[in-house]
Parts: sequence; C-alpha cells; structure tokens
Amino acid sequence: MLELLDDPIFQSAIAPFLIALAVGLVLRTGAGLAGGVAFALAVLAAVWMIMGLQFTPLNSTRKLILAGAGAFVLGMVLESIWRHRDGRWLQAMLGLGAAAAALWLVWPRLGRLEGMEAGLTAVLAAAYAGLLVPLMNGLQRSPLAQSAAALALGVGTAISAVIGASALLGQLGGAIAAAAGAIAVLLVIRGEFRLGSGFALPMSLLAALIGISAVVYARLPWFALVPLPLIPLMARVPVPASLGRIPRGLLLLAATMLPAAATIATSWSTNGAAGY
Amino acid sequence: MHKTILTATMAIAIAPLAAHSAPVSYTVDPSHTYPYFEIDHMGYSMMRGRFNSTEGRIVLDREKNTGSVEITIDAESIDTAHKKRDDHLRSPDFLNTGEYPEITFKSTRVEIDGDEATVEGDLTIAGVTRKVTLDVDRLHCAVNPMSKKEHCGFDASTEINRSDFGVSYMVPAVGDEIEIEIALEAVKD
Repeated sequence: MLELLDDPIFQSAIAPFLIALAVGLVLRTGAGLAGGVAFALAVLAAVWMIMGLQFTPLNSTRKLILAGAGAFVLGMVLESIWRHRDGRWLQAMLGLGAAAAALWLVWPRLGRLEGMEAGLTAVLAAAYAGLLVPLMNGLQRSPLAQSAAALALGVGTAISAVIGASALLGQLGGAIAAAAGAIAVLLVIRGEFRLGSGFALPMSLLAALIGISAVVYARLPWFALVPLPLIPLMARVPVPASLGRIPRGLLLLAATMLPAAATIATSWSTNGAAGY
Repeated sequence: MHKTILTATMAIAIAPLAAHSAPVSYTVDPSHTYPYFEIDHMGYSMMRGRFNSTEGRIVLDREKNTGSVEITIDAESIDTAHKKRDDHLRSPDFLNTGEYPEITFKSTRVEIDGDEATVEGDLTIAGVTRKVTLDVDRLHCAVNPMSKKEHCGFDASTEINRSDFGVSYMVPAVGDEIEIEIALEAVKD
C-alpha cells in the first residue's frame, strides 16, 4: 500500500483526481468555493507525494508551489469579497501579478544570462504568465468551458514538460490536469456550478509557471508554449446550448485540446521522445 | 671561526626543513581532475557518471600534516554518456543546474598521514550544504618530468545520501546513496 505513494501515476493522476472528486462531492457548490478547495487539496496532496512539503532552500520548483498557494488564497478572498471577479481592471491586475510571479521564478537564471538573452527570457516569461492567467480567469461565466480549458492546459503543460526533460514538472502538470478532470466530472454529476477565482487563479498560475520552468530550467524550447494561451480562447467557441452537459463538455474539450496537441507536437519535434 | 662554521652548518641543515615549513599552494589541474559517482538504478545496475569540469586549489603543509582543499565542480558538466539522461539530471528533478550551476567542497579540517589523509569539509549541492568526510589515499607529490613543475595528486572518496541535499526525486527507485570518487591532480603555484 505504501508503495503506491511512490508510484508516479498514482501521485500525479489517480490521487489528485480522486481527492478533487471526493472533496467536490462533499462541499456545497455555492459561492464559488467548492471548485477552488477541491482543486487546492488535490494538488496539495500530489505535491506532498511528489516532492514533499519542504520549502528550503527556496528553489524554483518550491517557488512555483508557493505562488500557486498564494494565488489560491487570493482567489478565495476575491470570491468572498469582490463582486466583479472578471472585470477588466481586476484582470489587468491579475496579469501584472502573474507576470511578477514569473519574474520571481526565473530571477536566479536571469543573473547568469547575457543582456539580450536575459531581457528576452524575462519578457517572455512575464508575457506568458501575464496573458494566460487573466484569460483563464475570464472563463468564469462558463464553468464547463473553464474546466475543459484547465484540463487541456494541464495535459499540454505536463506532457511538454516531460518531453522537455523534467518528469517532476510533468507530474505537477499532470496533477493539475487530473484535478481539473475531476472537476469536469463534478460539473456533469452536480450540474454546472461556478468554479470561481479560487480555482481559476491557482490552476492557471501553476500551469503557467510550470511551463516557464520547463523552458528556463529544463530543455523545453520557449516556442513550444506559444499555442497554450490559445486554449482559453478556444474555450469560447460557441457550443449549442441545447446539447446536454456531456456533449457540450466533450466539444469544448476537443476544441481546447487542439492548442495542447500543438504544444506537444512542437515539443516532440524538437526534443524527440521522452524517456531513456 | 668555529662559531661561523657551526652557524653555516646549521643553516645548511635547516634549509631543507625551512623549504617545507611553509604551506604550499597548488592549483587544480582540470585536465586530470574528475569527480566520479555511482548510484543504484532501480536495482538493475550501478549507474556511473562523472563531471567533466572541475577547478580549485589545495594547500599542503607537510610539516604540520595539514592543509586545505577547495573544489568547485561545474554541475552542468555532468556526463553519463547519454544526452537525455544528462539533460534530466541537470533539470529541476535532480541537480537543477539552471539555478545551482556549481557543486562546491570546502575543507574545514585536514589530517595527513603519509600518503593518506582525512579531509572534513562542507559539500554544497543544489544550494544545500552538509558536512562530509573525504578519505584520501595515494597522496603523492613530485616534479612532473614533462612540465618540470611540482604536481600533487590523490584519490578521494566518500558516500552521501542525495536526499540529505534535497535531491530526493525518485528515491528509492533510483538510489539515495551515492558513492563519490575524486581523482585530483594539482600543479604548484
């Protein structure tokens, strides 16, 4: 039984899926809290199994976990007190915050790069996170679209990170995908309920920072991440409201998986197959 | 006269000792210095690798049988003869060389006993510092007939648990214990 805790598939897929599903079934779905709490507990459990909960020294991987935790707290606060959760001013501030988190993550690397390369790395990291987080947060009016986008973003990030030579980052991305998948199942079982910023912010920021880490600290080429910000845009593809939740969810998933597939294909063509 | 001869004789007798009484500094020769490691790979075999780029300085005080050792290893130079594995070892999963490009060892205590020595010091891997003890043997210093300079060399070994340094990904599937051996040569400054 204890050996199961060391199994990578259990750590990054089975456990976070089951935990998110169980927590989501238990919590009330009102006030946009259930999605966030289910996601946070699922990812926290995965992080504990994959890398433990030690935070010293504060390396880049631990920074991204802390940033995700901070995003969860911020998201829950926004759910509790802020009415216009996807207003333009708020979205802009969230983008700036995400960009700042990205710079915090890559700072140790920037100091060792030459001028132009350091500047380009900083700009790309900040732009990627600064774009992805508000776009994902802006899907709150359609929970089914948001969960499909989260699942696709998790899958694309996880597989490309593994191809980019980091199984650890791939496992963290997998945990995001698994938790998002469980939330998609919850939406089918319990009907569509608002997932809220408590889900959208940590999910999108973690995915953004994992992708950036895979580029800056592993071997993923930066252009492999370019398709991923298209995922929240593809999630806005109009889907007939007359369809049931499952067909709508599947259509949205198919649309959002296209950019994820493009990222995976780009990573593969550059780095070749994962594993050795 | 008698006093002058005695003084001169004593000076001649003391001269060789005086020549060795001061600590002597040697710069590590990167082309003859390689840290090697071996680690259990999932119970199938012992996987071995090395770091291709090392620099540093050693100081030997033969009179007091002590000295110091400072080594800096370029973590990015890890080489296990497989590019994908080397990329993986450089990633955040293991050495995280993008953030921690160097592995360092700085001695805190050196005891020399003939051609053997015990070197205690601080080993830093991936930003974590732990005390380790290197067992040194084959300590040998002589003038190199090709360079005409004095060279010193030794083999040093130790064993660490990588999880002590926070490098714990995939433990226990990939071993926690790592045997380290350093073949080191240095040239007198």
